[in-house]
Amino acid sequence: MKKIIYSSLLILFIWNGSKALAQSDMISYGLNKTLPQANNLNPAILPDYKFSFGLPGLSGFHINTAQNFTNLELLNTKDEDGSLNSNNILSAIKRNNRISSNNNINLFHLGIRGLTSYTAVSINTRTTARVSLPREFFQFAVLGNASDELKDGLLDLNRFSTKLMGYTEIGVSHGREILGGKMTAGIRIKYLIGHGYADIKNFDARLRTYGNKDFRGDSLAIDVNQFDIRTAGIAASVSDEDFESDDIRSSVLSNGGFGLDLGATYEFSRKIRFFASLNDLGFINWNSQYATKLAVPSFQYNFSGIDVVELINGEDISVINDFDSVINDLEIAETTDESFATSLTARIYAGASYQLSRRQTASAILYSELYRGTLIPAFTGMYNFQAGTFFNFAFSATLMNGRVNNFGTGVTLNLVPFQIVLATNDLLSIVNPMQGRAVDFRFGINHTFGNVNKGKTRAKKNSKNTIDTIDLGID
Amino acid sequence: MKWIFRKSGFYLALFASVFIGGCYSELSELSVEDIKWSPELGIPLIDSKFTLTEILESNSSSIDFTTDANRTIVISISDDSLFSQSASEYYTLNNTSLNVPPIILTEEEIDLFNSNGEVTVLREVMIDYPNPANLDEIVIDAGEVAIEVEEDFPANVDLSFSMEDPNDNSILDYNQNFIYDGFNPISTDQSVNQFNDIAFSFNADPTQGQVQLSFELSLSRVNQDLVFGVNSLDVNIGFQDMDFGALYGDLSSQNISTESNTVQTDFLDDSELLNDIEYYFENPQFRIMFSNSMGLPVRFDVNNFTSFKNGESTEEPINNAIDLEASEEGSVAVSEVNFDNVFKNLINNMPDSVSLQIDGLIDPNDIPNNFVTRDSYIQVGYEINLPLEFSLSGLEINETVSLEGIDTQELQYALFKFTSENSLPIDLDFTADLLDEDSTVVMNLFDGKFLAGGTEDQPTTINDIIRLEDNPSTSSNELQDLKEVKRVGIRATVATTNNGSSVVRITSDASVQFNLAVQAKYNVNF
Repeated sequence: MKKIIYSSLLILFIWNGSKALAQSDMISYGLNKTLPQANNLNPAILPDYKFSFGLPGLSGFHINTAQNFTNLELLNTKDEDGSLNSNNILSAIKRNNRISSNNNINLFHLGIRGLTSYTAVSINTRTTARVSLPREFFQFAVLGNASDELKDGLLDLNRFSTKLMGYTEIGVSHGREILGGKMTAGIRIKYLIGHGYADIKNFDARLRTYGNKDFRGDSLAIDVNQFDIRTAGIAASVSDEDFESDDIRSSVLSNGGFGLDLGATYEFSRKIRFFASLNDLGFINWNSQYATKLAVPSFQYNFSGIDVVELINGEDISVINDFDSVINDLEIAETTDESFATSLTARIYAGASYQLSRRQTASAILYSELYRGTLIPAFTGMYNFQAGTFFNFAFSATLMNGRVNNFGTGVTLNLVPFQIVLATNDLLSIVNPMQGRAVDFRFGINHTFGNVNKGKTRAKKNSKNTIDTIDLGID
Repeated sequence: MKWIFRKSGFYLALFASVFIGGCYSELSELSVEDIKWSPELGIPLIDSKFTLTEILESNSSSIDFTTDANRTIVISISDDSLFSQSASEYYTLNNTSLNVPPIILTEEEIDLFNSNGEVTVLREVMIDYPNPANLDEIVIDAGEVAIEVEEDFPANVDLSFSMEDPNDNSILDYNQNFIYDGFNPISTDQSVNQFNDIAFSFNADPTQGQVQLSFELSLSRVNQDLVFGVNSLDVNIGFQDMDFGALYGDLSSQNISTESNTVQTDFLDDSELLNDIEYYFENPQFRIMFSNSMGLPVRFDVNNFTSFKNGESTEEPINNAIDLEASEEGSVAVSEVNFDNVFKNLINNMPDSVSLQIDGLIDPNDIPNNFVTRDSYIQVGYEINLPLEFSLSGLEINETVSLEGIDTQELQYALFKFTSENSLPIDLDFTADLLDEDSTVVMNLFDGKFLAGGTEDQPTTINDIIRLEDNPSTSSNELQDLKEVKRVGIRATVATTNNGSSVVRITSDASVQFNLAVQAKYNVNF
């Protein structure tokens, strides 16, 4: 079994490739026994410490900003003239190019480990932002509209979308052992306070330049289908022409919602444990007073040149008037005072761990999230070395889009009376920033006390004497 | 320490460290250089479809045109008053004066003055208005009446008198005081007054041809009595600078003599850009329009056309008389005569100008009952209609346009694509040369047919692409040579189809569709 696991990890390590976009927090999953914030990923995981708390400004933050289409090395390549090699950059552009940012500031947490349970309260402020840019967006900027690389002169922007959201979650979680300790189950109920929201969905626009391979530019056609722009909270408030500073407070605090995290673990054998969690099931209902929807209707415009007769006669240029008419006649429907709800981006973690030794664990975790109807899966192999609650180290490699492209590592170090956590889900971007495509970093100072395994260890040592007591005294 | 070397995790961590170390890079390797890229843009510039009528309509202030029954465009050039003369240039009212008798006091009036020291005398007299031309009626629109007064009464005199025409229209009101100083009894006065709208009729009632004068003369004694028959008041009244409103009666015959009236036909030569052209109009029309609003018949004699070309004149005798009847008052008698054949010969000889000599006679038969009014006139105008059924060749437009400093440094290439679809029966050949300071051709931009003559049923299409690029088959960079370009020499040659050898017809629906677009690749540097 060990050989299989080691071999798998080895393959994953040497299977290098370009990095894909990842939103998971795998490394925190690996540090779950000592990292209080890992409880946010699976409320059924019972940590080894007995008590923990974190205070605003100390308990840390997790930032994750990533894109999937370029890196500094590409931006640093030179062409034969010594200029930035735009062709190299462009060749790396994907059909769908994403920029995402997920940031979490832990304002407060308090966790208490019971004999067979763990109960925690946490407050986190989270921001999420996603922008999807189609390849043609870059092609137009770099190659122009007459390039042969635009098939049939078509610049298709229908894959463009963006979504921005900020909210604070106040969560209470409880996990406990069931089935005689073979299984744990946990739940976190979260009250959500939405601060701001904006999205553009269903954007569908095309610019076609007519011509052929010999000449392109005979005429231009712009075709935009109907799309919506939604804003809520502070985003709607500041874009309101009647905005007043007094609106800030109410617009960022008047949007409520609920969220749910579910988790479970199952001890298959003494060494093998399965676990799974389903996070961020929930919604935020955006207050109608600060919610706006702009429905931009379809419009088309064709341009094949200026009528030179009008030009000679000093008349108004009809094609310009036509364009003005198209824009001015757009009946953009603005809907206000109509609340709407947005769902959180649900995440699924599922995996298994194998106890390599008393201090070492290997895990395999499958992660998936549902964004705009698309499942984005990732598979992570994790190595974990834990020395009680004093020291915990994890190293991960993630397989995504058929490639191992993401390494993570993290460590918690308990320096009584506080614990320092340093972790990243994107190690390559730190050690090899030229090829990095993401910034992912967690830092925090927690306060953890006690170790539930101390008693178990002693009990295990004393098993020959058939003493089966567990010391739950706080260290 | 040995225990740690026996741990598999150690080797795994070591492997990870080596692997990660191999990937290590530093941000110091990052160097920001110039950013350069080369987009290709394709942009349509011109999309025009127009008919000749639309072009003409846009210049409607200078060119009149119509279409005939066959939808052929007809260019019209006209001048309603090639010459125009009013009746006042032939008939005038001469200055005249009235025969006003002196005012002498009667014996009774003298006695009354001498006994009372004052007397007031009233007189009314009717005086004939002179009619030396023996007209039936004179209507005077405006004029002046000049008055000279002289009295020699040894007394203070207060004089007023008025003058009216037979219709009681006031011509004059006069007032004057003459103060006697006791030594010199003679006093004089002169004045001029404006009057308007008076009339005299000389047919039946004699009073209708007279003015009525009403005098009031008041005398008051100074230091001596008056003596009967010694003193008098003398008044001279003259009419001058009169404009007639109308004259009725036997107006005299008058010769009409005009200077030669020239019609310019070299309007195409006004432009220095054009060279000599050759044209032939199939059906040009020249019409002379005569007008007469006088109450007298008029005979116009069109004597000849004279064409001028290169300083030489050629006379084309016409000798055509056009009689216009006397018009009713308030109306105009008109007559039109076409000289199409003569004009066709003239215009197709491409003269610089055509001169028209016309004279005539007003009231050639001296009929007795005539009239003219102040608005009466005679007028001669012309109208040239040129149906665009013609042939044309040799119309060449040469022009140079300054084009300083073409910077092609960042240009990789530029393609100009033009497309024309022509249903006009006209060819347009176009040459554009890029010239340096010494007018040496740096690059020929285009040399070929821009428009090819077609028909409404079968328009002719031309597609071509003008390339502005470095020729890869040569060692030199042609685009760099463009830096030397100072001007663009343009030559456009226009001809009807078959190089003007056959007559074509321009219809109102024939059109030209023209498209121009550019595709260029250039370098953008930051």
